[in-house]
Amino acid sequence: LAKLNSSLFIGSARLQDVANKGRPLRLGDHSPAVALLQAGIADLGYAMSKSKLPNGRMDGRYGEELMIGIQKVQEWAGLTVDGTTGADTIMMIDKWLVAKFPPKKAAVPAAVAAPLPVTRDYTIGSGDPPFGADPGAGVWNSKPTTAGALLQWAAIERILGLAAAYPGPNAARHMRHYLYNSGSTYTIDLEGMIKSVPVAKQRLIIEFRQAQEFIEKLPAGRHNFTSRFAESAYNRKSESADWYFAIGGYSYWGKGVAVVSVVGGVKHFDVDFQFKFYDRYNWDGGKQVTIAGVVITDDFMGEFHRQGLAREFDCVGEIGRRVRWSGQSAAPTEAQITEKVGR
Amino acid sequence: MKGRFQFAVLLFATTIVGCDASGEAPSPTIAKENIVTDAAAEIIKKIGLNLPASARFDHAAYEEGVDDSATLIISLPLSDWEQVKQKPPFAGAEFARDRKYYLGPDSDGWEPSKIDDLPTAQISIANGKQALNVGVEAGRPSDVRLFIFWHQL
Repeated sequence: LAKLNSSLFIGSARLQDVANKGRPLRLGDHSPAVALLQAGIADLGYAMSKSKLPNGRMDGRYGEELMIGIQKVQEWAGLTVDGTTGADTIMMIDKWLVAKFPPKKAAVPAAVAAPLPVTRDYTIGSGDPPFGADPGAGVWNSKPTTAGALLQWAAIERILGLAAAYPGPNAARHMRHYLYNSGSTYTIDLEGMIKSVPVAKQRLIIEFRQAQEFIEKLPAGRHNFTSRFAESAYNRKSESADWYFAIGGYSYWGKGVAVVSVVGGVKHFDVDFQFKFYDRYNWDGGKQVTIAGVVITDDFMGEFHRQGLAREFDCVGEIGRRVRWSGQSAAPTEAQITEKVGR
Repeated sequence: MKGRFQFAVLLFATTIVGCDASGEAPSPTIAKENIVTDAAAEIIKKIGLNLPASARFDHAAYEEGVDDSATLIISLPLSDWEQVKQKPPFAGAEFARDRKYYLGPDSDGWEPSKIDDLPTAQISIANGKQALNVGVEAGRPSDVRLFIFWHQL
């Protein structure tokens, strides 16, 4: 039997029944279990303002707002999008809630003693928010290797060998990792991307400011904090051809540890901030680029993956910053956020 | 593939008309606004947006890459926007002035940074495989202008 594990859902017999393939919750239902579901959807960051009563509690009615929230979860998770909460959907929500609000360990009394804030963007916790993952070109090594694909593979590898031909070192490295077929997770040069792509640098600053808004509301103590949502951005060719070909679109979020102290009535903040990055390197969905006069389409790049000549992989990255400031008026400068300093 | 080729030709034609530095008028049979509209229609179909007939397209550009992207500027009567934003994919999106979701750098015909009041929202579509970043130019008397940056992940 499936077991619900999030602190919000544990103890609800009705939700546990749904998880065990009992009667789904659906439009028109009205019950305390629906109120818990509404709270869970709100905790995951979906709009639930219309369902909230003046006293802050959920109204427990399975209305259009909850249905839309459920549909978004289902769409994100690749489930059937019908707005009804059955076993698969409740288990997915429960899993995300556990990831977002992991069970608290014993040794954090200072952090749990005081009421903790939640802002629109950040919350207490150390888990990662859910983020989209492209399924890619299909199952790796699921088709026999053809002579034509081998010739094309060799042609692409020749391009990578010509330093001037490929648009930049990172694009070449990522392509090479794909062609070298390990499928292993690849750590990108995120510091380099932030330096080279002005808009990527902006995203780091904005993400830190969102975290800062949350941190400045924290009481004294040591706190793990994390984004409530992953956001996405895109490296445009006009900003960096290298990073455009290396990555394109990507997801990012922030997390870290904040130590807050109060001296003479002034709050001091000592923060280890991590800017996290994720992307899936793949070739699918009608993609096509021209490099060094050679048109590279997913017709054969995706085929390499399916024929076991290349393998899609996860790209991850992380930037760490140790930032200290005092009071709300002496906020860290953009340079403190963006520039790597020896520690 | 054929459709993609036609689409590329369409965008190429847009560039030709848009970059006419000779001072000569573009061919009377290919008005720029029609080309933008046609290109926008292709992009909207690809993204899966459903817009009313009153939608007017001020800008449309598409770029293919490891991940594709597109920029669109669309004008809509206020009353139509009120209806459009109640339906997927906009339903539930919270447009906020202080969010500054990704709209990318300015380029020819795409200058969201010059709009003073541009609440934005980010909407995940296609099972999280694509992102729709939308800015709504506020404060216009009878219509809204949507700045849409769509991209694959």
